Amino acid sequence: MVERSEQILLEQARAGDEESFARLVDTHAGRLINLGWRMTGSREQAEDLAQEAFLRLHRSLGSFRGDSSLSTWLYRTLSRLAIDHLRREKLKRKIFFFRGADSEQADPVDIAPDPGAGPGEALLAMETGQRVRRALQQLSPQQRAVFTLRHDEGLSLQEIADALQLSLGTVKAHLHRAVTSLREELHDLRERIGS
Amino acid sequence: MKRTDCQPELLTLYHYHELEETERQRVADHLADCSACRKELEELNRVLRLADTGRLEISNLERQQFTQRVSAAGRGRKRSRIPAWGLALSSATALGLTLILLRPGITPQPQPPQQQSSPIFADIDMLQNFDMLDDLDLLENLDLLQEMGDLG
Repeated sequence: MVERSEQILLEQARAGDEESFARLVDTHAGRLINLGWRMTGSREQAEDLAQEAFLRLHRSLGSFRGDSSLSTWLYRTLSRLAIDHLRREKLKRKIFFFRGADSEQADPVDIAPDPGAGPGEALLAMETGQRVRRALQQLSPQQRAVFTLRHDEGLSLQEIADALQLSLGTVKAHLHRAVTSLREELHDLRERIGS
Repeated sequence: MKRTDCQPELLTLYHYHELEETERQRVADHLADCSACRKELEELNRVLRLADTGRLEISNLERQQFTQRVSAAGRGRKRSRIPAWGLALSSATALGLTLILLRPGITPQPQPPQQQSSPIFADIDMLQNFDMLDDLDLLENLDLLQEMGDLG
């Protein structure tokens, strides 16, 4: 359910108060961009998707009933946009025989080493970041969405099922396949890093 | 859950605390007995720790800029909807007028084709007669032969 303060902002935004809408965007922007970034691996794409999600909210202000919380609504919208985006990207790669994003396309924030670590550790951290990122890219769009929403965003499987309009059983299956796939992709890295 | 009932998919749900209490207890009992599943769970935990990629840090300034961009785009879309409504309204009016004109009794009856008396239509008709064009070529060749004959 929508919180009282958020409800007031929504009412004001619905009445055409752009400042209230901007405050809603400001409140949710950080989490939404982060979700987009985890799902697409690109900050630019994440911001574009988040922007589109907010614009859809702007367009739907009149019909937004507040049955679910605003953050859930935004998560759901962004997840679907991200899945569509990843599917299109996958199709493009198939068409052009392009094998995923290479290391030079990786987000610098993602691969930046921990400044406090030594050179060897920094290199390993960088490699780990790249490998994890690549492993995540191997997942199907829906697996990636389910994994991100559960692992990074902490949504329950039932919330994910509601957000993505999937059955609970399908969400469980996606999560298990995603985890299995990550284990296979990161097998050697796991052994090198140890516990 | 017996020792032989190793179910890796349940370990994933166990890790994420997504099992009902009774099932969670069954898996916990199984783990106490099964070293293979314990090892499996440890490896799972290790991989999933690796998958913690951290958060993208967004500064206040970046967030403000993003908010401004979204607000501007929202205003832009709102404005662009007004001409769209105008276009839709004018299209509907045009459609309505067309439907009124096409009502029986108002629809003009098809007229029999009029005689095309204009000179341009006569020219077109003549051009369509290719036999005549062939004859013109023959006449030109005849003139040429006559000229050559005169020259000897």
